[in-house]
Amino acid sequence: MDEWTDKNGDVYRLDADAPEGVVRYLLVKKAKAPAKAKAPAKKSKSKSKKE
Amino acid sequence: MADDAIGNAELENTMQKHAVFLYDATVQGGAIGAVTLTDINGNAATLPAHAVITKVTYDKLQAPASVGSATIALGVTGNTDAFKAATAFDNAAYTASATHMHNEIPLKVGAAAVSVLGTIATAALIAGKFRLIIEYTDSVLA
Repeated sequence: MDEWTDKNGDVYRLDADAPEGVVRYLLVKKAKAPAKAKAPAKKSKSKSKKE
Repeated sequence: MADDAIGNAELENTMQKHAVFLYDATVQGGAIGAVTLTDINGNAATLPAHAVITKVTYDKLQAPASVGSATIALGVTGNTDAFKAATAFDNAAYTASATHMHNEIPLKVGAAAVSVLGTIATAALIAGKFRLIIEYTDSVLA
């Protein structure tokens, strides 16, 4: 297998320059980091005071 | 039959089997990347398809060393941190004489045999030697 994808989406490819007898894969494409969840909107500081 | 002549091939599918994988920086190098571990004789070795891995034990033979902040993850093809998530080379997980690796264990291998990998990141290793002792059972059902 010359190329495979890790469970997180990283792509590894066989390193043709690895020493003889050594099977090594190089990370050739890093998976995109998941988008950050949008922070909830801040509550307004103004409070209605009960009188 | 000679002593120790019974290997995994002679055990039936329901029996616990063992495979031992080796990383040796003097042989496989310590460059950044996912390096395939070999059997203890330095030959290519894999875990069989559909095997259910029940236990992984790290056996330190020489503590990993790095001139940088190398991390090591242990796993298999397609799941590079199945046994151990990326962890600093000088963490107790790698400097202790023996530890269990159980990040995603138990784990069932997919439809194809997989290689056991040590994934080095951030910086290269300049030394280190360890065995991974893997216990598994062949799955009778895919």
